[in-house]
Amino acid sequence: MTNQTTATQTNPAPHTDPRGCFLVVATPGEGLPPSFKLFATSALQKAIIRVAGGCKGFTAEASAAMMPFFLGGFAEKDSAGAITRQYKGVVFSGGTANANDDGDLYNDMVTNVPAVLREAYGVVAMSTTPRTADMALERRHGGLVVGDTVSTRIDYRQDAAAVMQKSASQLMDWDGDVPVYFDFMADLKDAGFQTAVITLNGGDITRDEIYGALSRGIPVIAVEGSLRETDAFIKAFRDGDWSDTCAEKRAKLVKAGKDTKPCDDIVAGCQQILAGVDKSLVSIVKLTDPASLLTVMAARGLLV
Amino acid sequence: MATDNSTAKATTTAATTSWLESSPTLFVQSEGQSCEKFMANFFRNVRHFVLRGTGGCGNMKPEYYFGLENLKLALGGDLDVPESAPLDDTRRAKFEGFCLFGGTRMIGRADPSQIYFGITEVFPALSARCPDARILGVVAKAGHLRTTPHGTIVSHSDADPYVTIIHPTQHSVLLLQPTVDKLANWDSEYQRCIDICEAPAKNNWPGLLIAYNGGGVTAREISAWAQLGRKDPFYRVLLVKDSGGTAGEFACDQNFLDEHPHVHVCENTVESMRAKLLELGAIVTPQAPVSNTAE
Repeated sequence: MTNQTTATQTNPAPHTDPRGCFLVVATPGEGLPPSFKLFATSALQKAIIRVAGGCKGFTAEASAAMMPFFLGGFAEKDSAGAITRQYKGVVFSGGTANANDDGDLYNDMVTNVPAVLREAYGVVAMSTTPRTADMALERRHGGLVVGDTVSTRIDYRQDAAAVMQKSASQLMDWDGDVPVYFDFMADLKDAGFQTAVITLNGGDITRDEIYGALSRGIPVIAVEGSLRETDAFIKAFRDGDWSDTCAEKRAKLVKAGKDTKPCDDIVAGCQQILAGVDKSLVSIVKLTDPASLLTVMAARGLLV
Repeated sequence: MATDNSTAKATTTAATTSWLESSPTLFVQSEGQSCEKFMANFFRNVRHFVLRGTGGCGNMKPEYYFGLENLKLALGGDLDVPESAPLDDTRRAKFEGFCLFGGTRMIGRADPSQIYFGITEVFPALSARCPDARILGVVAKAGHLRTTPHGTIVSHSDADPYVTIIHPTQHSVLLLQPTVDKLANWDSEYQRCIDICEAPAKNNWPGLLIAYNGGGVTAREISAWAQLGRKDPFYRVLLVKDSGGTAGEFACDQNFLDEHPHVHVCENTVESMRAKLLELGAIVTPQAPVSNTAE
């Protein structure tokens, strides 16, 4: 029947721009364009997960474990290796990727997780990236360079990427995209999307993302053993030990002979947030144990 | 007793939530500002289809009122279909998707309980009939606002027996103003709707403008969609023949129709409207359920 044919055509399906990764450059004042945001609605599952943090200080073993950790945690497979349940929503991150001289992208950063999961499981991969340097088009392959070095590109394997800038002439701080992406997640949450932030490693910005998510009622899945502020958060949450929170910043201030009160204020702010949030928002998983992530994903209803 | 107080409070809260939750959200957009919260309506778990409804309001002649009821039935399904009828009986077909309309209602100046017919009465009626529709109003602030016990007035004229208020029955409303002190013109409604449709169009959602009756503003909107439809299949148009006004005129303009093959025409009957809406995918029968999720 004509109507059934037409109706089938209106079924949401992962939407990919045939030209490549859809790219927008936006300012916080104007926000993320609707055409970018609607990519999220093409996901087969109403869910969005932000992958935040970094890999600084990772051992070779930890680096090697990172992608298998995500691949193992986002899909449940039977003994024959067939997928029985999986995540089919949106995964988004900071969006940058390292490239080699041939223009091929590595999968060595947390920001590559969306593209890797897109290829493996067909999730919708998106990103928001603060423009912290002048942009350039790499000469041989035309990739969009957004960092200080030619190897830092926008991961073109994603579905959609947004670069945030103060203006055409003004750069942004590294955390410039955080309020914008939280607003995006909040709007999706209001519309019935499940939300979560998975954090690994990371410094001051990742800490802000962890506590920012909790204060907005967004679940945080913290990856234990990933070092730095994520492990500091786990220590604070589980053991009430705040000694590692803001430790890097504190060490820098001490080394410079400056007052560490700003760090005390940050820790106090984090303590206040944590005291007021529903503790069930927090899950702790282990980097070396993909099954722990799979269990949490299933428990939170993120596998379908 | 504490228990009694708790129960009373809980009951009150539930009742409060009920009327509060069913009240439309209202966002006021000044020129140059974004309207992200209104656009967030499109994140809802609703079938990806955008229906824009336009046409006559205050100037519609009474002899064309009957077609508004036809349109309600065609979009909202026939409530009198016997239960024994098969699921794919087209009379069961209903609109599912996002509906953009003018967002207003005309009420009597002398008797505010009197509701004047117009195209903007069709789509709010779908909110009860079509549970999988999201009804979104886009309102031009054509007059300075007045809050009254009968609603928020957005325009009124001494020459008219009615005043125009924000329609109380819809999911969300975007009120357009150039600035807080300046008034919008009526064209801004359809122009903003075209802006809003840009994102769904880019994401390959289907769209449809349905036009019934109307005057100069409706004519300009039909022309704009017809022109856009030459480049983008999102911008399809359905004109109701014999609906009067400019929609009726365009529907009989064979040159216009020949130049714009994505402009469709239906008769001013429930059956004809229903057939075209089915063909264009705006309404679906229960046998062809469409879901946004895989689960």
